[in-house]
Amino acid sequence: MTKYIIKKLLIMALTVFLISLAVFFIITLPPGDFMTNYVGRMLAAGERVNQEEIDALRRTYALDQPFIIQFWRWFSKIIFHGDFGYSFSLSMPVTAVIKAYIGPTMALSITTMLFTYIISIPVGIYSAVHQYSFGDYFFTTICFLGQAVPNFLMAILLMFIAFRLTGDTMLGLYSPKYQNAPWSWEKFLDLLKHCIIPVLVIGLNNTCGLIRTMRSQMLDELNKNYVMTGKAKGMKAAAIRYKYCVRAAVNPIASSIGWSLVNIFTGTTITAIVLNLPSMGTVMYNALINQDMYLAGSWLFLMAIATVIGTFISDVLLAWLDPRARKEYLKG
Amino acid sequence: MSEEVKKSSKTAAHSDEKKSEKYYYASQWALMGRKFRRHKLAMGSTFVLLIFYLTAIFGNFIAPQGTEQYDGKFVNCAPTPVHYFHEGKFVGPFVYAMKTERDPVTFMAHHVEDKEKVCRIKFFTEGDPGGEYKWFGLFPSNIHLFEAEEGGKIFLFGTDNMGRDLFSRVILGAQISLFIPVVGMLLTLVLGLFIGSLAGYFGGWVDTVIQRAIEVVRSFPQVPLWMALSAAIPKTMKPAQVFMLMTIILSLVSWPGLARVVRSKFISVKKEDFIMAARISGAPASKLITRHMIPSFLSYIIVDMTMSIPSLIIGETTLSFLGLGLRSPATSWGVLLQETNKLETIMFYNWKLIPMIFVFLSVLAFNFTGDGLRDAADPYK
Amino acid sequence: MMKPFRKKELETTYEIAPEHILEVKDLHVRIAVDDYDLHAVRGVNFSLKKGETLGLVGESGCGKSVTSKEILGINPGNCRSEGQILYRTKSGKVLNLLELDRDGTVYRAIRGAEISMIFQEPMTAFSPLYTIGNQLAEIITLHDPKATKASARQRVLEMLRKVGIANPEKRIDQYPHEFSGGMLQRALIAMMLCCDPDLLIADEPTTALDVTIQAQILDLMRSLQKEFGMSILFITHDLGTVANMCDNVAVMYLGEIVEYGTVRQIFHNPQHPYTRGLLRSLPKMDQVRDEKLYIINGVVPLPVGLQANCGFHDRCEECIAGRCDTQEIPEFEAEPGHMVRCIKLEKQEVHHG
Repeated sequence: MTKYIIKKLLIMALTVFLISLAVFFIITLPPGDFMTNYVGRMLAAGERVNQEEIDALRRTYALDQPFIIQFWRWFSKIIFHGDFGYSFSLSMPVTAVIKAYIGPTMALSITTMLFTYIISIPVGIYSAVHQYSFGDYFFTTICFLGQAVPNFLMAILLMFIAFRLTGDTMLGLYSPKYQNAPWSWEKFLDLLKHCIIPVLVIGLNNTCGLIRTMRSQMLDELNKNYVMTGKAKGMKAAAIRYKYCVRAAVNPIASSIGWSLVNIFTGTTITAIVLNLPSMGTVMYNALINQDMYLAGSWLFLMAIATVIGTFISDVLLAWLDPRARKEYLKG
Repeated sequence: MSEEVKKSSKTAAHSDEKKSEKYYYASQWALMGRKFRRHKLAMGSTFVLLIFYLTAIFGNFIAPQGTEQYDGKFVNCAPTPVHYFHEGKFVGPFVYAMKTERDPVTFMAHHVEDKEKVCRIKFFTEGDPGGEYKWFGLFPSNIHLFEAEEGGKIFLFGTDNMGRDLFSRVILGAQISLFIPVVGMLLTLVLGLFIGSLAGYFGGWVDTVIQRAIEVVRSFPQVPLWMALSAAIPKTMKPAQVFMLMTIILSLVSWPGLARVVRSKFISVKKEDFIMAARISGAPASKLITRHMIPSFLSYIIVDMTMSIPSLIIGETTLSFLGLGLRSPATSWGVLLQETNKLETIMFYNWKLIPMIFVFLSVLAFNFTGDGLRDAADPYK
Repeated sequence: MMKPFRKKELETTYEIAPEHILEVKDLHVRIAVDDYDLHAVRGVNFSLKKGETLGLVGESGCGKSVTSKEILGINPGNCRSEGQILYRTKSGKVLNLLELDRDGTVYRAIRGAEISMIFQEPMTAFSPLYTIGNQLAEIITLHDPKATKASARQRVLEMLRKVGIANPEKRIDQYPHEFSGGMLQRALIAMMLCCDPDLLIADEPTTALDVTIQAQILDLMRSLQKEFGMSILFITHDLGTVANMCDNVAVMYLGEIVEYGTVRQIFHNPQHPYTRGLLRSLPKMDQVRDEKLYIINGVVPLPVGLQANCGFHDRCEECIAGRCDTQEIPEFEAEPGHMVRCIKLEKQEVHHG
């Protein structure tokens, strides 16, 4: 077991290294570097630019060095000092930016995930058990429609509807008057109100996908031979469903929790941009547009790491839930 | 039972017999086709897609305006209604000429119909200068399907804030939005099949290396990676180059999924007796892969690919919407929707959401088609 | 179109012969598949005495499994049935099983406790997520409300030992994937005999197993039958096992029983061309080495749009054109207790009579 975990961790370390290489490659793809961009904007704004200062900055960030050296500087700082570099566009360390935005992002993601699971598992089971019933057709249709609307369009539509109904577009996470107010019950309610649209938008695609997966998993299980054994034993059909089928159908879905959280975490990106939420997505978008390479790179890097960790958690969960996988897992 | 009834029941039974016989001996593809045709929703969706793609292919002819044409006089103009009767008399399809009025309170310009002037719609007309195009990129022409008579303007879906005809832009946008996913999918298919079969067929260190690569790419969440890559596209590039880069980006991100499937299919199929038989009888590796192994799970791959197109359509639309993919004057549905990002736009000019209907319909149609194909390919259904 | 679910249980009372525990009368089962309406079972009649073993024989797709599952009421929802399945419960009451609510208390009390079934593929008959012990104990606690966890476990251990599973104390807490196919079939038999049923339906219990294991399982079933005294409905396509296991044999073809008799009658005096074909296609010890095994031409047709004729006529070597393919074939008695559904016997009757 220990041997297995060590092997797994080593592979993970290698993957992380390769990922960071890829990330760094991607963020250096755009022609020119941040400095060229920066200088361009300074000049456009009518400011004078001191070439020596620029060169000094270039040297500090090793922008004049070959790719591999630039990469190593960046990577070693992250690994050994937890230093993700400096955000040129926000004029603060990337670590500080991440700290400021990680809270709302995680809160939004976890709320959405809870919403997703609470809705999709029961609905999926219902649809499978009552296959071809009115309810099944109803939910299947909704899922098809829900999956066909891109997140950003959904966000725009809901924003429009919210404005029509309440006169408030529900942009951001707080109403302006609570933006800087201390925490209070009203502020919390205001936050919840502003969460409705993002949760709906981010959750909808995932929920629809999950309902369909749950439904087909459940249908698979309902057609398995052990259901017939259960009937032959004299079990009630509903008892067979809940003891055997649901448990088996939920397994793969429950074990994908780690991966699913990451999925939602990144799913917030687009929605956040449209709804102007104070989440990592917006920051990332601006960083990309402004070619703020360290900020954009760190974000991409963190997302990828989260996926690796999420996959690991899913593996462990699956092994824990399914005796067959447990055996494989123990064997290594 | 009368003689006739007996006879008819006998022929019915006979045809049933034929039916069951056919059922036993039909090829896999014939069976798939038959099952697919029974799936009404999927058939309907395929038909819709066919129309969409044909429209896109003949887009330059069908669209009254070219990509770079605009009419500064008609900015933010609502869709023009097409009429058939003028003052109770049938005149065929026509539009009224338009005049511009200013709202006395808000000072906003309005385009209203001038009920006096009838402008018939002409078909197969020579377009305005600037609407030139080439049939299939070869034969220059400026013939358009329809146009209003001198003095009239026809904007079926209204115009945008530069006075460009939205109907034309939706059709021309389809050329990008509907073809990027397909080209991207084909590229994914080639990459995925090639890399996946290498890993699955040879195993060993080839497999290990490819597996690592797959793992690394799959560790990147799709949307942020798309965003990062398309942000790297230089803003000065020509639309055609951006198109190519976009397809490459889309498929770069999605090949590992397919490669993984192909790899595992390969590994399981490798153990099958018919592959063993072919190998023993001396078939070379290339033939073994292309003639025996890939066809054995091809139907699965086709289904998988059809199902992947919707996410590519959404991907392209989203990126363009964010201004990370194609940019104006190049047109795609995402680019068209950029304007709707402002709430005021939707409040006052809600026709600008029309491109959304097409995104929605094409994604839905691909989903249904994919679903139908999957059911048809499933031998246990 | 579904089988009617009766809320009120049983108003009519039924009678069956005193020595019988099961009588199947004119059973029809239709299955709706795609646009087809498969007439899988077409008027089947048979009965089963206490302690008797009846073999139900035929190729795949001739309705054996459907018939047996209909007795237990576990066919999927797209099947609908007509006729009667009369069963004498342990308490001596005769019930028409087709009238019962399939998921109701009465039927569920019968399943597993009075009528049990073992399946063709033991590997898939268990849920992979629970231990063998858990799944076996369940049948005990289901049917005996007084059973405690401990007493159920004791009973399971006892049964596992009885079916010849070594080291049951360890095995009871293992998962199905840790068992071999043969072991699983033993465990399944143990499970289905936990409540001492009067009737055991065995649906090709050895088909998915290795040949050596097959013999062991059959031996086990025979000895358990002696011990528990239950009747067995033994479904198989293998006439060899029938000779070993059964008292009587019913040969099914295309949803009908085409020949019925004792094992002796069927093996020594087979009348129906189909039965003879089946027997001829068995490999024999004294067969010349290079002699080819006999095969019956063609395959069992789909039971769709069937006409009034002998279902076997298109594969029969002795088919009489104008008769076999145009008229319904009644049952004829070849000798006492030996029923055959073949037109050739009509001639014999005319001759003798």
